[in-house]
Amino acid sequence: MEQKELKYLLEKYWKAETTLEEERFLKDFFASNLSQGFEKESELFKYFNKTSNDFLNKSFDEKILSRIEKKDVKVISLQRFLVSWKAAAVVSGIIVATLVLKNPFGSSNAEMADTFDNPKDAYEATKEALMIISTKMNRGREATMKLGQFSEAQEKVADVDFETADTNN
Amino acid sequence: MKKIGLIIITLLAGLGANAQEDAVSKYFSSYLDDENFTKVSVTSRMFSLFTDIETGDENEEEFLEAISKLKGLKVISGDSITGGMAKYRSALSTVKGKGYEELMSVRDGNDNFEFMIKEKDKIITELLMIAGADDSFHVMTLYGEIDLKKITSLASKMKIDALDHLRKLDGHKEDGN
Repeated sequence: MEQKELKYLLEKYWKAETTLEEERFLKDFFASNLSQGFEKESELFKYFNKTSNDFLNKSFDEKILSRIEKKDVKVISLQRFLVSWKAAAVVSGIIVATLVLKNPFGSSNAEMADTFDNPKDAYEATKEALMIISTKMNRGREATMKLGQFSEAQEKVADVDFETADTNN
Repeated sequence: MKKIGLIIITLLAGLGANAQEDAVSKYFSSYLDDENFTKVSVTSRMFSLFTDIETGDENEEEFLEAISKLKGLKVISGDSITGGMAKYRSALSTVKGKGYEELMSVRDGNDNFEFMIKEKDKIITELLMIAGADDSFHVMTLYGEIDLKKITSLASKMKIDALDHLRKLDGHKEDGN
């Protein structure tokens, strides 16, 4: 083979313009011949020859199949999920039921209940509570007045005072 | 299983949100079983019975007038407890954003309290007081039509030194329970 012809073919090859036959010719040529000045190309085509015998082996199929089968397993687990959904529904149903049933006998009843049976005791307790509220409120007002800060809160108290004073007179 | 957990959490969160509508009631019930706290609840029925109480005292009449339009009272009161300030802070944050307007807030060393109100058509329908110190914690709520002027004037009308009275009340409550 002429060096010139080889060079021409290779140039065509790198431009990806060679036909399949020409490529096969190049492969065969480099497999059997060592041509000077084309060592790099020779290596490349030898490598191509070597790897062209590599095919997907059987284990590839097995791997793919096993993966597909794994997907099947996932579907089964989804079905299980539906079962667990039912379980979840039952569990949440029980929780709701207990909470709903418990409340009337529990907190809300206790909230509603009077602490005292005797109005007199309740009256005294109310008095105590109102005294504390009144005292604290006075303290708060005094403090704000002392500071001379006419905060929004204080203005609110003042407003209320004014309104009630009006209605009282 | 994750989903189940999620559902339960959602459910509980929903219930929690429901319960928080009346923050004080929730708070009240959470302290019900705590023996360190004195719980007082007076309902509108009981308030209606107060009018039958006969008092010859002018001051008492004043007081009865002040509470005549109240419909309910709730008190959680704890003296000589631990972590009062923590409870105070947590109570404040529980109440925050529940439709209360801050009326006044006093932070005075170891004596902190905050008054909050709920208003409807310019009428105060709820007065909430949260007070806390290192060793005490109080929550008081008044429901009904609340006349702040009358309530603030109560202490002075009774002609009792405000602070002394407070101490006496606190002491009395501990004895009583």
